[in-house]
Amino acid sequence: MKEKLDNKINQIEEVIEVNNLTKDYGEGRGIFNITFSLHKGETLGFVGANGAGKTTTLRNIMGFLKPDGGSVKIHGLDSWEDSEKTKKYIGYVPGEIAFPDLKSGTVFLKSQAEFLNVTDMTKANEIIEKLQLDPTANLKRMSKGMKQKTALVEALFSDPEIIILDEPTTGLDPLMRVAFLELIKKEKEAGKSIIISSHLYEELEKVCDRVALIDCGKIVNIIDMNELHNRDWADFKIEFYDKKDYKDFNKLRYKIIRKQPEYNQVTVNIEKKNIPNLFKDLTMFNVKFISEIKFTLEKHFNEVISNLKTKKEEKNDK
Amino acid sequence: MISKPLFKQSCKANIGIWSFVTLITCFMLAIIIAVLGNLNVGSIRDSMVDMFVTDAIESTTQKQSMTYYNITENALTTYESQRVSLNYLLNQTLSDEQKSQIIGAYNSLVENGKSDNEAREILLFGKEENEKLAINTLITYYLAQGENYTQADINYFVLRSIEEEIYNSLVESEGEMIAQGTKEIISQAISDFTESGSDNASDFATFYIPQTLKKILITQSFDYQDRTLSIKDYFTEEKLGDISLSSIISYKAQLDVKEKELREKISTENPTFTQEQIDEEVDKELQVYKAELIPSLSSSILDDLPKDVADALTELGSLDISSLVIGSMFFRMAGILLPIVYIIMASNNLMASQVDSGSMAYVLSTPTKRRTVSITQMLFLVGSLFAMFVCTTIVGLVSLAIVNSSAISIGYVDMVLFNLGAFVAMFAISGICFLASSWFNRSKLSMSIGGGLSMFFLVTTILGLFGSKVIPSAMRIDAMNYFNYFSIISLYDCESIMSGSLTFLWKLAILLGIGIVTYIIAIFKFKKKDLPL
Repeated sequence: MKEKLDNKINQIEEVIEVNNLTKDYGEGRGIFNITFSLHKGETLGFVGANGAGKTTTLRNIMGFLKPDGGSVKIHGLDSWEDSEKTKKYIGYVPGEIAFPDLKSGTVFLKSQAEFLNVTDMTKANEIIEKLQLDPTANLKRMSKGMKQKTALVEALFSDPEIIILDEPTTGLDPLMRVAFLELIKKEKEAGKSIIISSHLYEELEKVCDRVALIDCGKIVNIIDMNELHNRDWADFKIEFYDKKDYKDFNKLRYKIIRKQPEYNQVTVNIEKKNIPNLFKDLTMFNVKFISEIKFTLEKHFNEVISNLKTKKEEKNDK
Repeated sequence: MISKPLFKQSCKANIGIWSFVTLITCFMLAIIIAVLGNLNVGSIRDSMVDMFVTDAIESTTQKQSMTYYNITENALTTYESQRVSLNYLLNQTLSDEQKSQIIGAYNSLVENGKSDNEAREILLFGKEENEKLAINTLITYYLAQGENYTQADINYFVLRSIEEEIYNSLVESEGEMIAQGTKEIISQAISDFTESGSDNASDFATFYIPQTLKKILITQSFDYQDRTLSIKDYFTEEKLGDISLSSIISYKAQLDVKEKELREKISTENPTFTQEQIDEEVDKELQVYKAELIPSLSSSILDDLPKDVADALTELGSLDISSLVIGSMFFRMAGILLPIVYIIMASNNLMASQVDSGSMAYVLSTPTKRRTVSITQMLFLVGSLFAMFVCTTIVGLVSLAIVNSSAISIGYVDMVLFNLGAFVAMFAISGICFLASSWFNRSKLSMSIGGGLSMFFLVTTILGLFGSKVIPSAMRIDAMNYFNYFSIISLYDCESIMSGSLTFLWKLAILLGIGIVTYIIAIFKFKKKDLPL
């Protein structure tokens, strides 16, 4: 099994390789020995509390910070030493959006086009339309959402191969958030490699192939979303009309993880291959409703974190 | 090396403040030149100069009058007394018969091979003291004048005999130059005195000296004529004569009073003194008094003042207001205040503020090297400053050409050099601000360190001005000159530019060096540092 995986990795082209990256700000702040890679065409999510080290990692990839240890390679180029060469591949939306001292969004985009040697603005116009952005507005008077949109346009319009987004959806209203996610999906379909950091699990769940949890400057866990979705086990919540059914069901040999007798509800954890059996059994009962409780990213990471805590406590006890 | 879009961005972001600062600075310069050229700010100074010159002429006139009077009066008195005593010896003590007898005897003795001394000894032998003197004098006179005893001959003999004596004493007291000139004046005075038949030497000299001197003095005062025109109208021969006469009269009066005073004092203090002893003592004291009296009577206004006050006034008289105002005040303070404000704001805008706000991320997320960013921003900053001083140079030159006034001592070359110097000083300051802006990630720090230092330099220059040499000593506070040692703007040497010396060049070279070094460090630092973008 492990060999198989290794082979698989070897076949995949790595666009970004982060190796033992360390940036120590002292007092336990910073990032420590971060290692991961971004495959071509993959969307990688970063999740973590504020100050966990998401932005620091992204800044290192952008070559804005000099690593204290380890390295970041983008297409084999060092992100610090060959910073300007790596930028050919990257579109970036910074965490804090502040624009240069220019009049309007249009002027700003034109200026960026000059920096990037891009003359074709059709893609820019497409994105602008999709995000319903008025780029002629005064840059200084733009709302946070408008600024975010403008920054997105800037990051995407030169059609970069790698897209790095630091908290891209903060300040967007829910509708725009949907539009934005669609945009990302489209980029993904076009074969772009994307790194996206957020503190919102749902968002990442929707677009990412893999999500990394960063806590206290370390990658605690990287989960493949396919793994998450294709688990062998599923949870079902079942409510019965009468107490008798509820009690009878409990007598069956299902793994019940939660009982709520006041509502006649049970939550069952079941291997997926046994689901048909469950349904067969249920025909004998008067079932009010049955629903699958989805295993979310949030749930997964909460588990991971609580596991970590118990481990730590055990360590402390020892 | 240079990013065109970034340069454009910087232009757009800073053009407003640049135009404002340039406009105001040019406007100020034009106004200052117009004011200096049109208002006669030098009129007070001119009248001061007039006053000093007239005063100097008056003072010289008085001094020379008294000195010449003193010499002449002495000479005339000596002449008169010698003439009287010679007359007495030749014409009263000896009769004509005796004279020819003595001369005959002397001649025969000399013919017989006796020397002059031996002959005199033989003739004087056994005579009374009174007769001895008369005979001796007669022989000396005979050797010079022969047997002519008319008044004119006697006068001539006395004149010749004292001339040498006076000349020697003058060389001793006044020096050869004055002695030579005085010799003729005195000979003339003596012959005029004899002709006039007056017997009071002092009275004669009182009127004679002003008459003679005014002709000489008027030509001397011509030396001052190119200073101001009014001098020529102010001093006539007559006026100089009056000044001379009145100074002599007051000199005489003072001497008389002093003499009486001394005589009384000495006779009461030394009751045993004979009249001669008293005379001798009085004479001695008087000589001392004369030496003090002449300078005190002829002192000019400046001489009366304490030395530092006099120096201050002289300095004020020679003050060049236009170079002080345009050079030291405009180009080292008022005129660079706004450019410094521009430098502080622009240098912060170009680097630190963009890093602080995060907008630098958009530049650096494109394939633009950090070095390219800092070099582009540096070129913009230096270029905009250069353009600014090109503008002030043009405005300065045009204003000078339009105003075209003799009240402004600044030439076109000076104007260009002033602007060049100011630009180099601003280059150094901009280097410091740019370094601060490149070093710090926070606008706050960049502004307070870069701006603080620049303002410190400007303020110490302003404080230092009060102690610098361009300020007349009357207003100067010397201790404040120490402020100049704290400011790099002091290396912009306006005095040297005005005086035409080349010291300002090496000082500017230091400023240039400061600028180059700070810019290089800034570029290096920006390349190496962490950016929170």
